[in-house]
This record gives sequence, C-alpha cells and structure tokens, in this order.
Amino acid sequence: MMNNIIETHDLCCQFNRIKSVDKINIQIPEGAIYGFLGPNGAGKTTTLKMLLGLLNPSSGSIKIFGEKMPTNRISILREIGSLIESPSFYGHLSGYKNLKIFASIYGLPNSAIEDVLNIVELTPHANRPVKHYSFGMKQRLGIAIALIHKPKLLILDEPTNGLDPAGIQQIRDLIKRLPTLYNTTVLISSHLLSEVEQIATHVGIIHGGKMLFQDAFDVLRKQQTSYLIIDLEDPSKAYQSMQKTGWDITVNHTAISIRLDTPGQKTKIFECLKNFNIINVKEKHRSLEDIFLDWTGVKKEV
Amino acid sequence: MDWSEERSMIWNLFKIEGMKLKRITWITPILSGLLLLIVTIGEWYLFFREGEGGVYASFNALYLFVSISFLLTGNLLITMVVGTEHESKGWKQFLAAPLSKSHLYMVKLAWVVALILVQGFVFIIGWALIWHVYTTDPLPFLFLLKQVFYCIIATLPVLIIQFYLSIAFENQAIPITIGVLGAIASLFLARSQVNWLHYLPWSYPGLVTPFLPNHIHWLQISLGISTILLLFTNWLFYNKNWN
Repeated sequence: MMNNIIETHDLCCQFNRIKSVDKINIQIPEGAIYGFLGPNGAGKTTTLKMLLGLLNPSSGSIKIFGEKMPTNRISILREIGSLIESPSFYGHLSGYKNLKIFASIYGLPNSAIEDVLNIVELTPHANRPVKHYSFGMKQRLGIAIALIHKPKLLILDEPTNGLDPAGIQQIRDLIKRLPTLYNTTVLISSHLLSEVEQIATHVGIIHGGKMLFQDAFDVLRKQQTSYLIIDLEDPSKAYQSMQKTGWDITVNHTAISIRLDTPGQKTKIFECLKNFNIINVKEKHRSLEDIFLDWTGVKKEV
Repeated sequence: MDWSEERSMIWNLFKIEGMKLKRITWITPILSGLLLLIVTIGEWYLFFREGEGGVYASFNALYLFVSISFLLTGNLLITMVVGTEHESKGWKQFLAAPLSKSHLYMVKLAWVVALILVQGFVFIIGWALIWHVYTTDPLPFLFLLKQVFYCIIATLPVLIIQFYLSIAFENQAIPITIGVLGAIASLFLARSQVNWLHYLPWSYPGLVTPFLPNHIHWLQISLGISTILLLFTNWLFYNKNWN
C-alpha cells in the first residue's frame, strides 16, 4: 500500500469567526503530483500555510511524513521545500547569495547552489542583484530556493501566476520531472484546471474552505462524459423501454438524456428508439471544466 | 539536540542574518556614533567650556544626548533589520525553513544590539582620541564606559518593544513614529518629578547615568524588564500567524 506523505484530519482555520478552511481531510500519496484546485479565496493558501506551520489551525490535525505538525515542525520542514504566494528574495543580493543563505540553513556545499541554478536555468544571471530580475526569473529563483536541498515534498502555491506562456511551460516541465529527479512528492495549488490537468496525478478540489473532491486525476476524468439528449413525442415510454436494456438514462417531460461512454453507442441507441417519434437530437459534453465550475459554483464568464 | 549543536545552529543563523544586512545597516551605527560625538563636543564647546567643570563638563553634555541617540539609532536599525524581511516577504520563506522560531527572533534582535554596540564603540574610541589630542587631563575612562554601556543596556526594554512592533506591523511608519515619540519622551521622563513615570521603559536610559547615586537600581530594573519583555515577545512571535 502506498504511504501518504501528507494526511490532515478535519483541519480548520478560522479568522474572526469566518471559517477559511473547514474540516479538510487531505491525503497525498508518496510520489504524487497533487493539484490543489480551487477558485481564488477558496482556502488553498491558508491550507498550505497550515501545512508549513505558518498558521496555527483552529482545530484538526496534520501529519507529514507520519510526524505531527507543528509538534515536529523542524524535522518535518527539513524535508520540505516551499514557495508560498509571491517568491521571497533579498533584492539587494544576487541570486547566488540568496541561494547561499538557504544553502547555509541546510548546511549544503556551494555545488548545491550551482546545481539548482542549472535546473532553473539561472546560471547566467546568478551574480546579478535580484531586484533587476524579471518576474519570471524571480519565480524561478523562488523555485530554486525551494529545491536547493532536494526536498521529499515540494509545496508550490500558484507557481505560474503572472508568468508568460514560455515561463509557464518551463515551470510545468520542471515540476513534471521532479518525482523522477529527486523522488519528490509535489503539492501544487492553482485556480486553473487546465494547469493542474496537465501535470497532476492526483487532485483535490476546494471551495469555500471545504474539500469537494479528492482522488486520482483519472477518477475525475471519468466524470467527464457526453450525453445524448433526445426530444421525443412520448419520452416516458422511451425511458421505460431503454431502462430495461441497461442504459444510464434520465427523463423529463419532453426528452430523455442518455449517458454515452463510447461514440459507437449512438447507433445502438437509435436502433432501440426506432419505434419512437424523435423530434430533435442534441449531444452535450460535460468537460472537466464544466464539472469544476458546477462544483465550485463559479460562473463561466468569471 | 545538545547544547553544542544548538550553539553552532545559533551561530550559523547569526552569520546568515549578517549576510542579509544591507550596507546602510552597517554604516548607520558608525555615522550615529560620529554624530553623537560631534553634537556632544559641539554642545560642550558652545555652552559648557567656560564653566567650572572645564573639560570634564563634556560628560554633562554627553548625558544630554546619549539616551536619545541610542534610542533613535536603535529605532532606525530595527526598521532596517526587520524591514528587510518585510520587503523581501522573507518571513514566510524563513519560517518555512527548519529553523527554531525562538532562535530566529533572538538572533535578529542580537544583530540590532550588536550594531548599537558598534555605535557605542565608535563613540568611545572617538571620544578617547579627541580627549588625548585636546587635553592632558586624565580621562575618566570607566565613567565613560559606564555612561555609554549602561545607557545601551537601559535602552533594551524599549528596543524589544520596538522590535516586536516592527515585526507585527508591516507598515514601518507605525513603529518608527512610536519609536521617535518614545525617544523624545525619554528626554523628559527621566527628569520628571512624577516618580511612577520613571518606571516606564523610556525613562531608564536617562536614569542609569553614573551621575545618579541609584543608577545601578535602574540598571537592574532595565535588565529585569528586558528579560520579561524578551520572553513575552518571543512567545508572541512563536505563536504569531503569518497571514
């Protein structure tokens, strides 16, 4: 059985009587890239800050690597790299010196700095003051700081925010490589389904501080379905007839809706309905985005 | 973790904090020390030189400025040391690293105290040099050391309050204003006839001068209050939520 790197139990965080996080139970298996998905203000950053000991939970418990947080805060944090909200850096120092500060915390040699600079492709800019870096470079430096000690767990809070498409691609490729490169488990938060979809093996969807869904990404993908909506003269008779033959079907007063698992099923459906008067046929696809928007109640135009 | 391991961690953290300091943070205590020297000597030259005390009256001039100088420099240094962390959003990155929160708090404060000590040393060295150039009268060196270092010790309670306020408020204008008002108030509090006002931490720097017979009493109070404030603010820092 796969071990969970992170396990929370009924984790809550409350500010001024408002629950930012409400009884969250996160389970992240070892080696996973876990996409923590939710609209802005859903409680993602608050949850990540609790995992890192930056915020004290109002109630509930956190276990990371099987150890209790914050009781074993220092030993847990030794194995975690993180980038929360915007990257932190000392603008008056060079990229190299910023990394040197963190290398000193972990007692790492200078070669670790050079390695991580190579990984995030900042070697040519290592000796420039960070205040002169572009946003993308600062973001990569933030990731380099998080990676310098080859952590077992990497926590990234919306790491592609504000990056151009090339920068996003670069960060995405790097995150995908991490489980094999350092055997790192990655927890990445985002409000973009498309971003999480491209890299995550597991997903947790949070909204209004509550966890709405959590499982392997493939389980979520299975919920992505097409429906054939058929307007009929007598939909209830058609419904009874189709239901007997085992179709996943619903009915209202004008139409039946049949779930399509494969496109080839359409022929069989029309075969079954040959004795009914069909008025109109529509096919509706329920994408992952539709599912996400339905669950989170966020309107498409937003 | 045994004590030697912990000591090496604290020393490592002290060096790391030193790496973060901006050049201006190093220059400030040196300039403040020189400024205190110039102002004190200027005051003596203009208003005390012709008096009965002669060259020794310079210590009266020093007493006028020493407390406000250390309080204002401390205020500036705290803003620089803590402000660097606010500007860089470094708190959350640093506190998500495997470091003891208490150690981090103490080490940052230790840097502020170390830099104020730099100001103290610059002042004492400058004073001693000028004294030897200007006069052949013996320099009461122990008195000078006591005046300067007792005053530094007596500023600790205010520095600790100021230090925690700078951490708690991201906008440094608030702690700076409190610090400046406190430093100005210190000029009057120690000389106030209202006894209970002497127990406010802003009074201590003016009360630990070797001119006063009970200065050791105030020095002990400063140390006691510093210890209490240090434990309390460290506890607040440990439990602080980093939103």
